[in-house]
Amino acid sequence: MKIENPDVLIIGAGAAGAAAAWSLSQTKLKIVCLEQGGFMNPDEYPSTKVGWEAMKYDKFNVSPNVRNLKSDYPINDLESPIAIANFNAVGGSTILYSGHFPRFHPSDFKVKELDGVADNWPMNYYDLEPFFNLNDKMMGVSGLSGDPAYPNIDGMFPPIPFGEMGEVMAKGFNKLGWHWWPSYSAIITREYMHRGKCINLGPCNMGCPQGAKSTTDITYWPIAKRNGVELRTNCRVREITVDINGKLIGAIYFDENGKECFQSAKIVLVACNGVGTPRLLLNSKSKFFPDGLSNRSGLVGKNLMLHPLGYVEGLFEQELNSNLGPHGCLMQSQEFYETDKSRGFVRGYTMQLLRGPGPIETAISAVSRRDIPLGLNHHDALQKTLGKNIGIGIIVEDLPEEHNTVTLDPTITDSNGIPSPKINYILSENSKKMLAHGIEKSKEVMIEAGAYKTISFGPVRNTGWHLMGTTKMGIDSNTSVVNQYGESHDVKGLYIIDSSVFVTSGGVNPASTLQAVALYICDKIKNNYKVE
Amino acid sequence: MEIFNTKEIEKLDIILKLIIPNINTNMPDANLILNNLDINNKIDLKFIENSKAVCFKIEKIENQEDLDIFKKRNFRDFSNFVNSSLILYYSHKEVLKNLNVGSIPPFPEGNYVKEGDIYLLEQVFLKEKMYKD
Repeated sequence: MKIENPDVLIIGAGAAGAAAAWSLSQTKLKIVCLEQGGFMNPDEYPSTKVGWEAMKYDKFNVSPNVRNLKSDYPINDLESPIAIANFNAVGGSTILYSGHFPRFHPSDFKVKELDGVADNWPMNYYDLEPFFNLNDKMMGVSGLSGDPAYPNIDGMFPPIPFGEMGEVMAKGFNKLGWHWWPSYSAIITREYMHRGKCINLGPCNMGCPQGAKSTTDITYWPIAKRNGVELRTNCRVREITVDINGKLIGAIYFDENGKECFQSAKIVLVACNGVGTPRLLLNSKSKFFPDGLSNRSGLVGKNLMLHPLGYVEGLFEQELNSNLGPHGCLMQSQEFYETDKSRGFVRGYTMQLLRGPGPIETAISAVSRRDIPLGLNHHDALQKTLGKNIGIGIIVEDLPEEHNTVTLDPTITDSNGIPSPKINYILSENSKKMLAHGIEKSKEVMIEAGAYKTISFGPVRNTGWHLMGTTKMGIDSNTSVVNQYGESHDVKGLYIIDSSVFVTSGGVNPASTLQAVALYICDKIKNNYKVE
Repeated sequence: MEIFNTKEIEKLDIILKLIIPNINTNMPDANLILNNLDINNKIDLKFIENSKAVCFKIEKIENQEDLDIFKKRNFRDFSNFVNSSLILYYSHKEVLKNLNVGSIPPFPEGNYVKEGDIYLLEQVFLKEKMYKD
């Protein structure tokens, strides 16, 4: 049933929007969510088909510019060494994420205090801890308690099996005396909440037809909808609007037929990710906000952080079946996570172990590197690689810099004529040093584990999944866009609840933390508005 | 309407057999990808475009030497062609079957992955707290 006069309008039904919709749905608030994509059909996910891997080069590509679906908007990322990756649907980028689900660490919230760089967050790990735990319960997370790299984390399903390749790498880490731990995975290893357990289909980053990967279309949304939230799909918001006094009144959007509509609301929550959110605010200009909504600080779209990613691949003689199982969820090492200034950089990185790719990616990447020839010896060489290669992704903490930006492209628009985002981004010297260090250390552990050859490069271009920092959170309205509870310093009732508000980026995948932040903000909204 | 003309098919047949030949293996030649192309499929369409670009530029193709000369002079075209050929080849049912990675979709059967020896964590368990509060 259509809700005519909602109290709350949520823009975006991805990781943050879904968590917020569920959280607020426990109250009497009337809630509408607008999402530019539709619901995914699990029957159409690639791993239901023989030629699944080819679909990675088409409508399941990580880049909206390649997919070019109706739900996508083009992003000009030519002036960035890292291309933007996302997915636009109910569930957002969780549809294609690998499910690797580590939390930020306590130190990530106070880098100024510990290392004298960037800023501290206006909250700490322990403020968020109850929301991390709640989010784990709602999403379904597997992993193992007792990790010395974290405060204790309980209540997870048993970890994803790490197989022969995991044993090989574990021995390598152990020889060096380095930390490693089975992945924290947003993938369930036991049946839970009408969802099947993981059966190691493999290409998690192309959608999970089993429902084992915790995507918000199958975790938060079914409950939020049952609680009365109205989710309008294929509706793209053009701008958030204010009245003649600068007071928030709602949003203008295009419905699934392209018709322009207005939706009123007392409270608006923006959850469009670190690129989509500043794009929407910058497109929401008015007499009161000529530079974009909530942009009196001039910081909307600035401080973009992307997590530059280094990659090291090790080739092994023995069969490891490395091409089987959840691609991004094997194990991680946080041996080099915390600052050690003797390394020549501040902050640190995670080494995320990756299972080997399928035959297409194996062939294309190895042929381009000339590790696998074309011609007579092609098949022999491919057989020596497929299932015998292990990857390490090095996720480095990207510090905020104002010159890394999301702005509006002067010429490119989406299918509704709304100006598209343009990315300007360069790697800092600190990030470059960290990448180089991570690559060397990853090669070291590969050799120790028995790899006869390693290949490395970075930053990897098509890895701009982690979009953070473009509407920074803080106490001072001159140096931040939203306050410590996610509410705009400039516009009462306007909340930003996605990773745009991140003050710093940590050195881990941000999904778990951004959802915890969204739940934290919603908890404050419930308290502020005294709603039950 | 035919996707390729006779001359194009002749050229592509030779090039694909040179790129991925069936020599003493159970793997088919790459020219099997020329069968059942679908112009409504974006991936097939990309292959067709790349193939036509190569066919247009390559004057003579009889052997590996001719292909090497073409590759040197038209590296970008050749590379695009190879990539789109590899996508079609390694998603072909017959190829996947002979590669022992399965000619059925991963879903709903799934894959077996060994649990892994969790006792290997012993020395990590014993580490001191590593995070900074």
